[in-house]
Amino acid sequence: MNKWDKIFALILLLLTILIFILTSKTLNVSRLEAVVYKYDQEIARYDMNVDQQHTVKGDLGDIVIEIKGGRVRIKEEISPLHYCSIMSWQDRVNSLIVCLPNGVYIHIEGSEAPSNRLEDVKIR
Amino acid sequence: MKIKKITQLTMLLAMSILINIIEPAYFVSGIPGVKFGVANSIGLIALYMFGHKEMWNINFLRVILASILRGIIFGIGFWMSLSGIILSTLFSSIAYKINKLSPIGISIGSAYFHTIGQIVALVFLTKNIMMIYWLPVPLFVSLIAGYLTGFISNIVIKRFKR
Repeated sequence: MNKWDKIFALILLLLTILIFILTSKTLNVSRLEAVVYKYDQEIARYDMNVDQQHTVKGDLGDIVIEIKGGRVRIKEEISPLHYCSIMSWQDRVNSLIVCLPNGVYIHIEGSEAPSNRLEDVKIR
Repeated sequence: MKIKKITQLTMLLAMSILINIIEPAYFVSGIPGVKFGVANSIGLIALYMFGHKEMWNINFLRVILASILRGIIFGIGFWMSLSGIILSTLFSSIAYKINKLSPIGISIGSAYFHTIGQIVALVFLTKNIMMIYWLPVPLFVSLIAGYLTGFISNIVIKRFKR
């Protein structure tokens, strides 16, 4: 590796860290929701505080989504390489479970907790 | 085109297709859907041995022929590979012309832009912008993968130039 390689690799590494920070921006989350998309359409929204199991229709067959202990996973699906079930449990805001052959994606969304900071309080 | 050159290019193409097909079974990154992209090193070798045009030919033909052989032609995987290879080959061509980076540096950048190209294709195919949340992990892996494939390519290029 020459000098330019090292500089270039460092720039790319810093850019990756910046993208990571921007995409994993943590909110003051009070509640997590697993939002299920079929391509660009939202087809379901589940509260991750409630243990539950649902089945949605993918392009290749049924997909079983399990929510347990504040985490979500694809329990069963039909796809050539089973990447989405291998991804297993996810519990972070903005995490993504992608099942490309079925056109189904689960995005974890968080809603911000109400602010109780002192500067928000007005005294009359 | 001389017979020797045609034979060498054909062998490079055959190797890249073979690596592309067997890679998921032998070079596992440990992250679902993320490959090391060892086949990209063949494109880089073609660039240093023959030039820009040959690298574009090898990379394009590899994506098309490997997709036909794997039965994924015109599927999501094909468009992602095509988008990735266009961006990575474009980067390699420009970087080679500027002549500041070594094969390792070009390989790192090529792997990085390949990943960006794939995610851009994914955003368009799924019409879902949130696919960019998937970017950081494959980008980080691409830096390591790019270094490894560049290191291998560098050794091969040096031996060929002897």
